[in-house]
This record gives sequence, structure tokens and C-alpha cells, in this order.
Amino acid sequence: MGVEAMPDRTGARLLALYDRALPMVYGYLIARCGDQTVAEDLTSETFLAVAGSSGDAPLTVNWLIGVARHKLVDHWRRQARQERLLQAVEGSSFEIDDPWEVELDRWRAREVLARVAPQHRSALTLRYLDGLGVPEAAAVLDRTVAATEALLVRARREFRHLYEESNDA
Amino acid sequence: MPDRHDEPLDALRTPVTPLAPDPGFASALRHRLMQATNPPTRKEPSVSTNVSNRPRNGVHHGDVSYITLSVPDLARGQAFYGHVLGWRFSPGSGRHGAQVDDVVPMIGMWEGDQPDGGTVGGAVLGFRVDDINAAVAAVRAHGGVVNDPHREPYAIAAEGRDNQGIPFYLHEMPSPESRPDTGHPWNGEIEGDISYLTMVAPDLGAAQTFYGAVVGWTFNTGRAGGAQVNGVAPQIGITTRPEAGPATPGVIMCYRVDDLAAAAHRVRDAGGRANEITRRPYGLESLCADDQDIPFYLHQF
Repeated sequence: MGVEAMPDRTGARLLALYDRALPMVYGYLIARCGDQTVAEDLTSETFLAVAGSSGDAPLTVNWLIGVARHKLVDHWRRQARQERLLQAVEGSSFEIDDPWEVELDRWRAREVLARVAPQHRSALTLRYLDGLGVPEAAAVLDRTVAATEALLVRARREFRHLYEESNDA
Repeated sequence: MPDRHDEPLDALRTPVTPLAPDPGFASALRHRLMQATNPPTRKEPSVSTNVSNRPRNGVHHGDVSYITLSVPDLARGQAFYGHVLGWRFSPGSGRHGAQVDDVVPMIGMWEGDQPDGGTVGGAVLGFRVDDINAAVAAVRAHGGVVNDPHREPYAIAAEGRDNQGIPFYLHEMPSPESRPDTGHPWNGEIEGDISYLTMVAPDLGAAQTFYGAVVGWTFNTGRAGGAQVNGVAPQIGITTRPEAGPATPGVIMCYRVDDLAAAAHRVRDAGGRANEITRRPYGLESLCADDQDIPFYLHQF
């Protein structure tokens, strides 16, 4: 039976897209979380969530990557809760976002990114790795634009602090 | 935010680059998606296999009538084999046991002691016999121990240990409608069925004498240290030394799966171990252990 025989079935359309979409979704996730097990888990969550959704989903690779992005942010949100960092970091005082003129060492920057607080990693990943605008990042993070801007300020501060510290080491 | 603040971090921009994941993972996820979108496919009767009508307690004298898979923890066992083989369970005779639905031969999972009070980690085979009194007499005449036959709801049964201490059960039960004899060895028909049973017995000759006398087995002794039982279902081999795992006397189960790469992934996913897949003359094989350290094989034919 061909896929055309059941065009309204999300599952059939997803399976037809699977071979092409899987390396893209997995490639997106592994490049951002850097852990095979986590990338596999989130890839599974992404596809299974779509398989279980209603039939009106726009099934494209880009749309699946968008779902994966949400799963990644959810993962870091859970991690933040587990690490009990949320309150401490959210409660930290707002500090001025000084201009920072530096040419980042990409490899070291990625290493630093893996060490910032999970909610900061989410914000920086969406804004810089994925290149989303602040309003789009805010939508994924389920925050207001203003709250996302404030989060990005704190995230950049932590990133910069750890980056400069790693330079001194 | 002023853009000048963003500039250094813009170097982090990472376009999406495709990367193929582990093939076992890819295959397992496809399997899960197919199940999620077509849930009834797995255990429903297929064109060639009417699951509900299959004889599950053997047909001939010497066939395996029942298998007890003895595990330290029943709930863990159910979770593991449910995940790996798709087994579904019905309540057993007590809280220490559960029956596996549909698979052939019939399997019960059990976390308690054996009838003689001993414990076993792994499988205990039950054998169909035509005359249980004759079989019990043969056990006692050939160095085994066995209790007296007693009537159970499912059979006239007796439980014992062979002349090397390997536990077994005997079952005399009404003849089922005969399965058409295809002339081929029986290695299971659907995922989760027993594909083969490896009996580990330190003394091959003693095992041949004992089971020849008790359940009428005859043997094909192809290679040193091993013998194949002729004409039983499922197929059984006896070996003095297993390929891996502890060489303790007992029985190692082998299960049929549809997609071995996906199944091996599920084994690891569920906390077990799965060795590399090897190609054998009869199909693909992987030696595994469950999350309670019970070894088993998976076969894809």
C-alpha cells in the first residue's frame, strides 16, 4: 500500500519522511547537546510526539527541527530543575551588559556553552546557534520578549565570565 | 538588545548538518513509530500465522510443553521482556508468577522458589510425555530425582532434577490438534517465540542417556561437545560449554525477533547487554543478557 492511499494519516506521512528527516533532526540535536544518549532520547521524543499528534501538522524537515528545538529546551529546563539552579540564577542581580569585543575561539566557546546554566544554554542556543530573533526565541522559551532579553543578558554575562575564566586557566 | 553586544557570540552560529545516528537506534525508532501509528500490527494473526490457534504445549512426546523463566524480580522481568520482545502478560497462579501471552511454547515468568525449594536463574523446561508414570520411573532409574505425579488443572505433572542436577518438569496432557508436520525444524513463527533452546550439561553422554530414557530423545552429534535433539519442537541443542556466559548447568533461551538490530537496541535501552550481531548459517544472532544477568540469544531468520 502506498503512502498516497492514506494521505490524512500523520503516521504514514511521517514514516515516508523518516529516512530524510532523521539525520537532520539527530544532526541538529547532537550538535547542540553533544551527548549521543540525550540526542537519541530527544530524537525519539520528537518523532513520537509528531506521530501522536493530530493530522493537520505541516510535516516538513524544518517543522520537525522546530519540534526538536522545543524538546531540547524542555530537556534543559528539566535539567535546570534537577540541578536546583533555577532559583539561584534567576535571583541573581541584573547587571549591566557591557560591550564585549572579542573574537571567540569556537571550540572553546562550545566547551563553555556546555557549562553555563541550562536555561542560559537554552537562550544562547536559540539566539546564536540557531540564529533566531529574540521574539522567536521568546516563543520557544515560553517567555515574554522582555523576559527573554533579560535572560539573554544574564546568559551572556555567565558565558563571558566562564569564557574569560577559561582563557586565564 | 543592541547588535554590537551580539557580535562575538554570532560566531556560535551552527547550521543544521545532517548526521546519521546509530543504525540500531534508527531501526528501533522506526519500529516504535510503526507501532505508534499502527498499534495492532505486532501480535495480530498474520496471513501465515493464526496466533490464537497454535498448539502452545508441544505436540509430540519429548516436545517442550512449558517453560518457566525464573527471574530474581518478576516486575523487572516483565518490564524487560515486554520492552524487548513485546511480551504481554496475564496473571499467574500467584503474585510471584505471570503468564506470557501468545508465545510458543507457553512460558511463565516466576520469581519464587522451584517446587523442590531450590532457586534457578534462567529457564526450566517442561516436557510433554505420553505416559508420566513410565517417565517418572525412567527418571528414577537413571539417576534423577522427581516427585510423584500429581494432577494439576493443566496436566498430570511431576517436577524433578536430572542426573546432573538440572531442573525439569514432566507433563502428561491431552493431545492437541496436530500441527501439520512440515519436516522443518521449528524455530518459532512470530516475534517473541522461542527460536531455540540450548541446554548446558557438563556431561554430554549422561544427558543423552537420561533424556533418551525419559522423554525418548534421539540425537544428532555433529560436533564435539554438542548434540542436537532430533525432531522436537522447539529445536533443542545440548552443549557442554556455552559460547559465553556462565557454564552453569541449565537452559539458555533463544528468542525470535523480526529486526535484530532494533531488538538489540531495545535490549540495551532496557538495561541489558547485547553482543555484536553475527551472521550464522541459519540467520542473524546476538548473545544478550537481561538486566538481571540472565543470558539469552536473539535470532532473526
